[in-house]
Amino acid sequence: MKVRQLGVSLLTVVLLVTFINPAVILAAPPAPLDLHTDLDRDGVPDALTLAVEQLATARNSEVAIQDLLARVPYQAETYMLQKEAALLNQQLEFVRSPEEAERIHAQLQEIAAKMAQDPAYIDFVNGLERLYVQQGLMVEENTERGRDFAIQAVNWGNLQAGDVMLVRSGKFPWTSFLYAMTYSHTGNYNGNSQVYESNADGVRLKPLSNWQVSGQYIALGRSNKRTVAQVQAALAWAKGRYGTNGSTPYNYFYPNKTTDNSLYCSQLTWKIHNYTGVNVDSNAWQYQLWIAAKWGVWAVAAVAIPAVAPDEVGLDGDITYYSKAWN
Amino acid sequence: MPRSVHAHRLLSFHRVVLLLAGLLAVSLWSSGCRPELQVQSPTQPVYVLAGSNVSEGFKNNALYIFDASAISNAPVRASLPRSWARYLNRAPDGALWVGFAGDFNRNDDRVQVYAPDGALLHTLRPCSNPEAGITFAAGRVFIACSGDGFAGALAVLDAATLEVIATLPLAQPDAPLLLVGSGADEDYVVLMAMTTGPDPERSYAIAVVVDVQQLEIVAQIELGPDSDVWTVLPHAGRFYLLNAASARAVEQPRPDVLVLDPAHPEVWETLTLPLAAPLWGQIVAGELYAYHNPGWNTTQQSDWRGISRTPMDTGAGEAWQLEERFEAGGLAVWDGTPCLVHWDYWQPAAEHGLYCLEVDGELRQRLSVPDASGVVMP
Repeated sequence: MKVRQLGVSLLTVVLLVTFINPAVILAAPPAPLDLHTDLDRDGVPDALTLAVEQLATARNSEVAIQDLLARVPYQAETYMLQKEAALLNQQLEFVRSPEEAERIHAQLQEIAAKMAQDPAYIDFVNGLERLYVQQGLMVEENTERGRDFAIQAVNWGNLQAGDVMLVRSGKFPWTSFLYAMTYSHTGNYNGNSQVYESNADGVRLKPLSNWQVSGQYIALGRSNKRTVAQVQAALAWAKGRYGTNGSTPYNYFYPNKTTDNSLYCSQLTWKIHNYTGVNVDSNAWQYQLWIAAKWGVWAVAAVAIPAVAPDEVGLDGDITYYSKAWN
Repeated sequence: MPRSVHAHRLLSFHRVVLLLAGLLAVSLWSSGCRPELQVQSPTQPVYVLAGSNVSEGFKNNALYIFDASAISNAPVRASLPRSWARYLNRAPDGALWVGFAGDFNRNDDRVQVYAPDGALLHTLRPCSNPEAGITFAAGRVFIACSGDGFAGALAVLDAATLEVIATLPLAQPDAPLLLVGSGADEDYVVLMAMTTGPDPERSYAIAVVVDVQQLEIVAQIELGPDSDVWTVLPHAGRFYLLNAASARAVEQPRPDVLVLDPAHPEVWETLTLPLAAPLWGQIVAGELYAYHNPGWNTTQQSDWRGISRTPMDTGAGEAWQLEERFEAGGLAVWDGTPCLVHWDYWQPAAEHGLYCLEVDGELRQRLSVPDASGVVMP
């Protein structure tokens, strides 16, 4: 009898704790994100729109992104592929040759292609891209060509030495920054119709005409924290520091943006502005969410936060973008 | 007996494989995946390069060979690597030389040599970014490489063996030397580069003159503000440098054409064309034909485009205005008619190709080539 009473009491306590303690309630598995209902027919699942709105006001975006991603009903294989991608990304820290880095990049692209076999992955990534297009964070892939796209021309006439230049040059792996959302490359206007940039073969100067080729989406921006002269002085410093002889190689390990021994394109831009005391790595939650959706939650801590992607420069409030248009 | 059975099986297997291979070949042929080279080199060839559509990953990169005497014939098409194909020229032996320059994320060091019928003969790797001209003189090939843009190089090859005879480093003290164009006659190669100057809003060019026999730099000349030369035309012992920046001058007009006598590089003559900002050109039968684009490689926005023809003796030329922002990747003269290669990402691919200025003064498409960006007409 006593045992039965004790059992009932214990059960009562457990039930009370279960109903009263929010921690126990929160520990319940999150409801899967509904990626099919689109009552307003805007091409974005309503649940995704709501979740992103909530994310915008989250105190800790990294945790909120984790919580949101936990609700996406990915297939088990997609989670395995994301883990594989995380391990491959770690290997980039130890590559010793461009060929090795290229091989890892190719493997990562293969993983992305495999993940795209998961309908939930596709629904989530495509829905997020459509939402970002609506919000002006991404540009629409122009599948149908027409003059209308090119009516708003790039405002080259405003360009001054030291200005930030971003380009989206297609969606193909061989012309894109691996973790690109909108922009695949960053440059710095050098004046005299030249662009100072870093690519897989080191820092280099290229003619402005390369950036003016038809069909490229271009953003041009200027620091709103420093004068043009201050940025130009930093540009001159960068050329002295990183080279006029190809001596600074490409940095395949994007998270190590502080190194001076190797550079990727947006890292060079970040270095120039960092020299003026302005950090143009926005760490914008919008980019963090996109990279988490595309590659897995690991990419937020492993890439988005430590590295500086062209998109993070593009979303930085210290730069005012006075022109965003197609060539 | 088992051996013969085995042999029979092998034979059967062999037959099946042959049959499948045959079916596959027929299938590929009928599906359009046929070998691209089917004809002998045409008697009047027109070579069109497609190689600048970076936005679509250079997916249509190719070298097209047309027969000008029968343009209704389908062209031969040789696929090119997916890299910025920046320069096309034809050697005295008829071979086509193409220089590549990678994309935004990579450089390239390849030069490919094609037979007149489009067969790939050689892939060479002379120096980084061989995009600033491939010229031929004195049994040698001169390949201008922009490198990292701060300094360039001129690779000199033996035209017969294709071995690198020398590589001349090209640099400017305390300033970049970004090679963009070159031209050669039997005595000199003239290379053009962008550099920097005191006013960041203006363009500054440098001309480098190299003796083709001695392989030495005989002169390196700064052209001053508002100079930007991408085309060098050798003619009668002199070099005509088309100044695409002639319309950019603020205070006083700059010459449209700078005429360089390599034997006297300190003395410059100038030529005024009917329009400013000549970018591409060709000299044929004593007349200079030019395509004019004042919006090329500059922050100054100017939408007009034009074609001009100027007799070298009288200088009294004529000009034709083109549609606004009609971008051309090269100019060639076809039976006395100036023709432009044109592509525009926003236009259907069928509208890309070779456009010629017809006798009624209208520019009309003669050849359709997706992503057409360069042209050579022997």
